[in-house]
Amino acid sequence: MDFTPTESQLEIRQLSEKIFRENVDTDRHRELEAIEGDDKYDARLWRTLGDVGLLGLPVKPDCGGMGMSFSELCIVIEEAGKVLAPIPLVVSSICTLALQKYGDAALQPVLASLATGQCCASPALIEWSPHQLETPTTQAQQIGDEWQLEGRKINVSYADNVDYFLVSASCEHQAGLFLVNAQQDGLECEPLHSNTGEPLYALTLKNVKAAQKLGDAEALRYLVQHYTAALCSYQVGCLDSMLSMTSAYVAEREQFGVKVGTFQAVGHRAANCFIDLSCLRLVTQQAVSLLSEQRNADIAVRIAKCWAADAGHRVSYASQHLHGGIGADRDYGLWRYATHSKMVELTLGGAAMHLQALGQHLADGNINIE
Amino acid sequence: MQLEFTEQQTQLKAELRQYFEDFMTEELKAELFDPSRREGGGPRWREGLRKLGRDGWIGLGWPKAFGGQQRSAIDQYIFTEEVQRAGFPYPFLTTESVGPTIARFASEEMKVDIIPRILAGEVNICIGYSEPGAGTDLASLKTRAERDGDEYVINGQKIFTSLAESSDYVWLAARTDNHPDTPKHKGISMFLIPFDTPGISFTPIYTLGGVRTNTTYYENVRIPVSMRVGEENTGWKMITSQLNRERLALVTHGALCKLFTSVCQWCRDTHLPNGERVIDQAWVQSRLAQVQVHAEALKLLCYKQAWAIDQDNLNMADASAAKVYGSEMFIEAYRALMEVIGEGSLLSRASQKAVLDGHLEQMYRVASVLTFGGGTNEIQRDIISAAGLMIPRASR
Ligand SMILES: Cc1cc2nc3c(=O)[nH]c(=O)nc-3n(C[C@H](O)[C@H](O)[C@H](O)COP(=O)(O)OP(=O)(O)OC[C@H]3O[C@@H](n4cnc5c(N)ncnc54)[C@H](O)[C@@H]3O)c2cc1C
Repeated sequence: MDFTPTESQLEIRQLSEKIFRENVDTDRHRELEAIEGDDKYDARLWRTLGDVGLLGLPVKPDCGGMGMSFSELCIVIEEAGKVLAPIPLVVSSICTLALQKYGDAALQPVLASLATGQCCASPALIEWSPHQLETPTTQAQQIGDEWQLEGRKINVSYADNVDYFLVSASCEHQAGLFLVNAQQDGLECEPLHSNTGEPLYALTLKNVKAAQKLGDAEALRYLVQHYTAALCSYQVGCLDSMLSMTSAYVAEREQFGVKVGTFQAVGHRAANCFIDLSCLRLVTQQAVSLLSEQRNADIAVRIAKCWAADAGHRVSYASQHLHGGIGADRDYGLWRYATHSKMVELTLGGAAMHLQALGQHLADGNINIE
Repeated sequence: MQLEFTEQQTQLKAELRQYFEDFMTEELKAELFDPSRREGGGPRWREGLRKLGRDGWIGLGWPKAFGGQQRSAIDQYIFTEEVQRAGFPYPFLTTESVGPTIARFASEEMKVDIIPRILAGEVNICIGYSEPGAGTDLASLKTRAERDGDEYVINGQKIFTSLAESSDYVWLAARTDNHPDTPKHKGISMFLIPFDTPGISFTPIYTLGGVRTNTTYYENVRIPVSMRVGEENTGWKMITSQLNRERLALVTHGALCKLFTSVCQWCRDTHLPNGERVIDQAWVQSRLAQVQVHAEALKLLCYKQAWAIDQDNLNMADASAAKVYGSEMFIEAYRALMEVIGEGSLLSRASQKAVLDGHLEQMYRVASVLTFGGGTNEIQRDIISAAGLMIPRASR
């Protein structure tokens, strides 16, 4: 057992931290938020990350990547969470992973341009009817050697900016995962207004031809698990920032002639956040590390998502409370984190849903915990 | 980063699991079933402890210079966990907390006399810190040790001196400087005193958890100066050093995992009148899963602490976080596990056929001691807030 990050993991953290710090601050967020329409993403930052190789960390070297693992990618994602980087990092990089694993040789050029940031991709998994990730109502139909998709997806991130979608669809009750070109005929993209302000879209598919079927339920599960673990890593970064803002604030803010942080009730609520974050960090590292080693991570990922949801909820509200009024002020950055932590909490299922799935495992007899 | 055990660690765990299977004989279990023997002290328990000494387990983490094996803190944690899982009341305070503090601060003669006997499982030490008027604010303790030639004369009263009834020594904190200008934590010295020294007496305190503890009285107890540990008036750093070590053994996860697995098994084996199993109910599944989710985080917090000790970079806030989290989580976990068992979980181990031998019924009663004992959680949160988050604290 060894919790020491490797030399290259440390370097990746430093490099990504530096890039995010130099490129994303409150002003940059405001600039992008002020843009009407679709270009609410930081293309410059995206290219910078691509140029230094951070978008291709887990991609094979012969496809333009660095040949590392999911663990290294999640370090970048955590750092992105700290600044809420306005780029499709989580969504595009997990699509890249799934393409690498399930795409055929013809997709190598696509993989290479994803790895270098020349294009990006987004998963289209979520539907109006909730909690149905594994049994999509979107239908896939095989016609000759082609697949056609029909259905409707929501909360597709950056849909107007991406080049590919990974779409989940069912064919005779068997779920599958399909690669769809964003320019494909029959695709209709309609902007939604998300809680974070991040561009989300509804995607309507009318007899859309898939570029390739990547796999069946197992490929979908692979995508969902990596997506979930990546969101947990993002949450670690997001809560880390909320808590640093909060501790710094209560260490300075005075009432009754003293720093409010000296009130034990205040210090202790912050301490509870510290504990929550410590737990989330560790269970997330465990899930990510199991996925990186291609071990069975089903339980670990669900445990991590329960923590991402619960800790996200608690740290967010404690931070808002301990800030008082300023925390709600849109001129101060905290509110943005409050929305992102909620987005992570609910995306791909909240705590209760994952608890139920874990409970089902127990009922099935997997009861030996060590 | 590698969050899994190494091959060697997995083997150690398996070896210990097997060892304790054989170690916990029916006779030993029967002795521990007796409420007055539950925390140890009985003849079979003493024999077991000596066996652990002979087999080298007590010295697992001790330096080679003292005859130990000098294994890593992770190995030590694995041992701690397995011994708790086995249900043997292991005297951690003697072996892992007071012992190492003596090894660090005591005179050569005292070390040579005591430490080999600790490692052989022959010595039990109780801790005399708390007093009726000094709990969390331990530095305000009033028991006095007054110098008289080559002797000290000790007078005072301690409370909650656990295991005194079966101890060979008391590790006693007493005031040696009473001067009003001396800060209260700078006038305390530590003593290691044979418990049969004339002038020491005790009366029992029976607690909610069924655990016995004691009030101990010190009346003109005369001891040679050589029973003082370290310099006069330097006791406070020994106390804090000892408490830091104690904290690590308080919230291990193994025993909870074992209990969890037994409760799940019970829920799978037990049927409702309609034929469904208890575990088929959605609310039962959720309750159990919540315990699993919480226990998993405790496991990782503990592993990380053990690893940090090996790296010599244990962070104070992290140690406090594990203590607070573990102690409060246990309480919630016992509650959830009792809930899924239902009214049957109210039957104590004295009942015939009590569910899981009434284990839970006892655990919920002892659980609260951990939240204020071993450094109360309020103080631990103060530490997290100050040392972990750099929030200024009020002066006290
Ligand atoms: C079963 C059992 C076994 C024990 N074994 C031993 C033993 O072997 N040796 C020994 O010396 N002692 C032992 N103790 C005593 C134990 O260490 C004390 O109970 C503990 O230190 C708390 O002290 P107290 O009981 O005086 O509570 P107090 O200190 O009076 O605390 C009461 C409440 O006030 C809170 N509080 C106190 N200070 C603060 C603060 N600064 N900020 C916020 N809140 C605060 C506490 O958190 C607690 O909730 C044992 C106790 C029990 C119950």
